[in-house]
Amino acid sequence: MTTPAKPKGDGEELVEMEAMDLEEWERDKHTPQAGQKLDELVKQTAAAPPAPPPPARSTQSIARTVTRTPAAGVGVAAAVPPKSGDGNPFDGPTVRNAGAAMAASQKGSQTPPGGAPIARITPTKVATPPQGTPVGRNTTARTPALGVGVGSPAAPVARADAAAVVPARTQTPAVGVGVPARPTAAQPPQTPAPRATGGPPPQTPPPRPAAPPPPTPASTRTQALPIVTRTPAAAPAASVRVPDKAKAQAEDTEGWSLPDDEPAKSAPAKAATPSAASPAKPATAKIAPARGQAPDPSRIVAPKPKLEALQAENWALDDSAIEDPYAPKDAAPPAANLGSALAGQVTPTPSAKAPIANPAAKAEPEVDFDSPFAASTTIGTLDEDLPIAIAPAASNARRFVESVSPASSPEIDPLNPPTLDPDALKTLDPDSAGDLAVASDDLAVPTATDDSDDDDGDADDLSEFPPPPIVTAPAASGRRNTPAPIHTLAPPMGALPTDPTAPLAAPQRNTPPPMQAVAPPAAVDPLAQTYVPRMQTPIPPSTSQPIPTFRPPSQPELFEAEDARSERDQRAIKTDTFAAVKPSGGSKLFLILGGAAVAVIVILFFLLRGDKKPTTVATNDKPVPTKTPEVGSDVPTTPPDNTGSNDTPGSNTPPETHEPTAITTPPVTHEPTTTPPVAHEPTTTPPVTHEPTNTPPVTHEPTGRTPTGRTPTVRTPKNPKGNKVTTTPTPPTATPNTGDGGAAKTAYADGNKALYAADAAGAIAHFKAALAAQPGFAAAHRGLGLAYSLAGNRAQAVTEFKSYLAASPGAKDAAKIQERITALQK
Amino acid sequence: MFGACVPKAEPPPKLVYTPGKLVFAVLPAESPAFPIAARAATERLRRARVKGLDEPQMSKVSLDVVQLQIECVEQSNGCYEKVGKELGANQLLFAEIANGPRPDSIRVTITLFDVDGVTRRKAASKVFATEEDVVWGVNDVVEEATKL
Repeated sequence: MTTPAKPKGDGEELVEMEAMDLEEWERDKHTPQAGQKLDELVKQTAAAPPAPPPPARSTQSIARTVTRTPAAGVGVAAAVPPKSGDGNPFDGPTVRNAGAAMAASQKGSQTPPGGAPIARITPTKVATPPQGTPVGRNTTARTPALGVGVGSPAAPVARADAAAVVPARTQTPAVGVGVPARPTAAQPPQTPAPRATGGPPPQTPPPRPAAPPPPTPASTRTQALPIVTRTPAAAPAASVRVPDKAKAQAEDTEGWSLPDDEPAKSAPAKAATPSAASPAKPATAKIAPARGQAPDPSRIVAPKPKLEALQAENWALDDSAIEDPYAPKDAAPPAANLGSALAGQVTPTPSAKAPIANPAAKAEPEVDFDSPFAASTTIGTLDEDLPIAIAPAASNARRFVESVSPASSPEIDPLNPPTLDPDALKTLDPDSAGDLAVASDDLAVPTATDDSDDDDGDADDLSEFPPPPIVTAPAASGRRNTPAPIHTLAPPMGALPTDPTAPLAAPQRNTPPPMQAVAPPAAVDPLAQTYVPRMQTPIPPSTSQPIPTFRPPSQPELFEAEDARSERDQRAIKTDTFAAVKPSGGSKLFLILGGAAVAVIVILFFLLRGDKKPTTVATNDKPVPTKTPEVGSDVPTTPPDNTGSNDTPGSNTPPETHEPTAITTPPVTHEPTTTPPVAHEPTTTPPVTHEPTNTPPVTHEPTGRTPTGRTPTVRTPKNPKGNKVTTTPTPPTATPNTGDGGAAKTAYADGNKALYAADAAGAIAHFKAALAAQPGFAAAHRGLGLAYSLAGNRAQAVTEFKSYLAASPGAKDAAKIQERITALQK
Repeated sequence: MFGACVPKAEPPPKLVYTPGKLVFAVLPAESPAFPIAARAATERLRRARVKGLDEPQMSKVSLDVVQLQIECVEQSNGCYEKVGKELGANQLLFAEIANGPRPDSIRVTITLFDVDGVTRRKAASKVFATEEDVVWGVNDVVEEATKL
């Protein structure tokens, strides 16, 4: 009907709604016919045979119809099959509790005279109490949701399985539709239930405010929710807990019987709300509930905790005790069996208050359900379990007592311990016997014949006790902590000052006697002889020799004799520390000599660093002072002029030492490899380009020559530069362009060493030297590329690699080099 | 006497290959194409231990660098022997990273090489789907290669 409108003009998009003509309207007009398919579906799901199509009638929104019967009215059959003429299956409640129904049917389904409780379960049958038996709330047949108002009732769903019970609220449909309930047409003419105690019972308020109870006609009373089961006042059998809401109603509906009474009686006791008047409250709490059986109220007494009581009850229960629960006298409900009757202890309703069916209790599961919380369902079980549970414990306890009790074990008199039987020892394992033997050895009394003097603490030492006093000469002991005689440790008692105000005497210390403190001169003499040249005092190689004990005297004035002092010095000089620290007259000479030696070493060091330059100086024959300025690279002129006036000029004079000449000779070791002086000129070409200064190295030497050698700190900044100058030019000097690949290879090998050691700078220098030695040396380019890569200089690395590829395009490693180039260019 | 005090600007002494002397060298992995995998493999190789050998000496250059410099880039025992002798090592443990059979896959090969015997004592190889997988899985490869 809706088609997109054609774009008009400017591209507007309009949705055009086409009109519908009358014929089309009539053709497509559909009258909603609710119920046909629904009926079919319901019929399919329902097990009941398809009922004839019910006459059209108004929708029944009430779940069940309650018809009150007089309390003393005639009982209604628990399960009333629908009459043949009764085509409406909704007229009866849906049966759910098959077990109870079966029990009731076995019993004859007789309604007790006091009321007409209808069995809730009518398998596959819809039972409509002919006498207006009210329908339990939960037995409501599910009326299809025909809220439209034109519904056809569906077949009732008989639920024999109580486990599948759905709560009534969910099953009561169309309650809120607001359609007043009407009496079922299929129902027989129902007479208004006369009240047993007076006026009609008040209707139970609907559970939902949206569904107020419809006005009940005079003949039939229809109640929406919840349906209250009434039991005759004289029927105390039902042990139904009374809901709070319904309890109030129960007072007004006394004497009325509702069909759900019996199921209500079968409600579990645990779900029942114990009424104040219920005497069997503890009984219900103790004994497991059972459904479908009404207990004998006479047996529902206070629980007997003992087994005997249960047994007595068990035996006291017989068939005679099981009576019709609906009988007006005692109203004992029939019990299917003895166990269930016991288990189904129900709180009897002693007073005239009629128990009211508990909806929640009705929804409980089957009869066969055994609550795990029940103490026991049968007495026999208890009877059998007890010995099984107790006997082992008793036996174990007895066994334990026997094993623990000293009486059960051979008694050992602690006062008279048994002696070890040698025979018994034989039975022991060899290890334990050995232990015993060892122990006996340890405990053996030492004999006089055991004269061993070892001090191992065994029996031999016992014979030596008390040990003889050890008298050792402190001076001869050689120990530093020689124990002093006891009398020297503590002052005599008489030495204590009697006058407390008198100054205390100096505490006596454990000082060795003077003879102990002074070492025998014999031990010093040899040292004294060697001590004469203190500078060359040979320190004994091993200090493990016993050194005579020397303790600094606490009262030096007593010991400060001159000879003693000298002796002590001589002895102390023997130690390393004293010899190293103690100054003496001879040490001055040592210091002077040492300083001179250090100065010479420093001078030589600086001279040797510039070993190559001296040669060049010699070749150039240029005045030395003019060449000095070459410290840096481009500041040559300033130093020379200043040097003449400053202290540094003295550095020009240093040639006085003439050491450079002596030291420059060592460089000759390098020079032999280098070629004659002619080769030095090409040195100006090397990349270092320090040569433009016209043989600079000479300048380093004068600056490095300081007469005292005390200015190395001033020259240290120059050293690195000097090192660079010396190191870098060396390869070139070593690799002349002779065309011989030996020098280049040597430089290349050195470069590899540096490269493997991750010395990028050294490797670069060597590879450059190799290239200088042999310009077409491709491997040197490769090495340079690797060295630059190691140094992080990517650009140079790429350049060198490309040079390598250019020099040797067919190299095996060309692919790898190209790969490196690619990686470096990223 | 004075000459001993003079420093010499010479390259570090080269390790001298001595047959029979166990020098266990580990070469770091290097792969311009798979730097992450190379780093992971190197880190794991650094912690590798081989039964019967001392703690490995970590080389400062990779196998490729040495092979380039000795101009023996083949993955053969002969080249590995040369590498070992160049480094002065008797036992080599190194990783080789190459492309796998699939586009993004990586093949990592860990080799424990005996320079004296010119044989591979053990080698383990594994193909990883991605480079990141090498970080998590190279441990197993190294363990397998160093398990004797």
